[in-house]
Amino acid sequence: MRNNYASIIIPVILSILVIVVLVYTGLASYDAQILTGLAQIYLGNVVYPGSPWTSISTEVVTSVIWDQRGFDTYFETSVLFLAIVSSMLVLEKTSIRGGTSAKEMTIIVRTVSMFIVLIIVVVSVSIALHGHLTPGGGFQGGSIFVIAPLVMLLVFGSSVLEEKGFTNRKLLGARSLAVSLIFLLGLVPVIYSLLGSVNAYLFQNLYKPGSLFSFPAVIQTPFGQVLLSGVLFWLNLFEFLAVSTGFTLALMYLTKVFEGDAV
Amino acid sequence: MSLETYIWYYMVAVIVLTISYSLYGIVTRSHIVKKMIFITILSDAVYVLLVFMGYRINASMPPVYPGGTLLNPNLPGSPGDIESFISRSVDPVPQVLIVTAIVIGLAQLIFLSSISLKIAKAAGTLNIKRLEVEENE
Repeated sequence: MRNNYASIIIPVILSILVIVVLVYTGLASYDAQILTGLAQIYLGNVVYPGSPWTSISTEVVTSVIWDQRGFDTYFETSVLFLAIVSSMLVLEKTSIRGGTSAKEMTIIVRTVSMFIVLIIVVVSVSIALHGHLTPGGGFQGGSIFVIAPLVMLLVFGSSVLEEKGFTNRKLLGARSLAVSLIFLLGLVPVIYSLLGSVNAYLFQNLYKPGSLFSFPAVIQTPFGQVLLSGVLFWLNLFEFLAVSTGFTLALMYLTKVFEGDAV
Repeated sequence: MSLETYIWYYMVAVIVLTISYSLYGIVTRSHIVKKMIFITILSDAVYVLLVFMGYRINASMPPVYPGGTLLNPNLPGSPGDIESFISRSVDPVPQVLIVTAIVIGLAQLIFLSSISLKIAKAAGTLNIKRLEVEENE
């Protein structure tokens, strides 16, 4: 019984302390009126095309992630890459004895999940490609996309992705390619400034004070003007590729090991 | 205090209680999978609390300038548009923090689960107390 009382009393005391701190510092007060200075700078400069720090994008969150703090996001992508590569290393040549073997589910589940997988893929690609215009981006689109291979692995058995051509090597190759492309896109301004006599910075997107280098923010196509927000569109695309293939690979490994096959 | 204020502080209390209960669970549960479940609950509750911190009483929209499409982008034309956008939008900084934190949390979860699969294969159990007993013997 002593354990039961402790499981109620300790969390309650802990949360009362946290709430006191939150209310005292004003972090969680209901009638907060003013934004912090940092938020005002982001909201005022990122969207407005007349500002020197603009990203010519209507989405503040994506612009801050890739333009204002691109370094940080690049290394977060690398952390993700390292985590998946190291979990593959850990799982190499592992199999669980007595795991449930792969079986296809009934025709009802298979038919319904084909539709659902299709919808999930379309929605995730749309979220990734509109990342600089509407809420979303590469991270979010990729995380949504991972549900599709997970559903397929559970419904059609663990070998379905390999039968469709998504082998370990291809997925790992796409994953590495996406991370390298993100870094190369960050290097483009530096290479440009070495070739010409123009000032440019690592992971630069559009014109900045003191630099004339800029990726094209709007391009002309036969369908009309398309807003790309410089490099944001491409970085979202590559990040989508990196996150979706990386997690698909990890899920494939986990499912296989769990079902008793050596990887 | 109005009804909205009561509901607000009730929500904050529920989130903070979830955070503290999951912290308690991480410390006291002895099964590794249960610890992983509590870690997931903890991180999700922290994300929700951070979104709560970005809210303002007069905000009515996310930090996205409205009405843009890929072929017809609607960018603000004058400083007045930007003034009204700033006055109506919520704080973008916590959201920026959360977006990458969610993906890193997923990667951490996958790494934890592969390590625990390896432990289950090697020791036959995921209960930390039993693992310690086997070490001592």
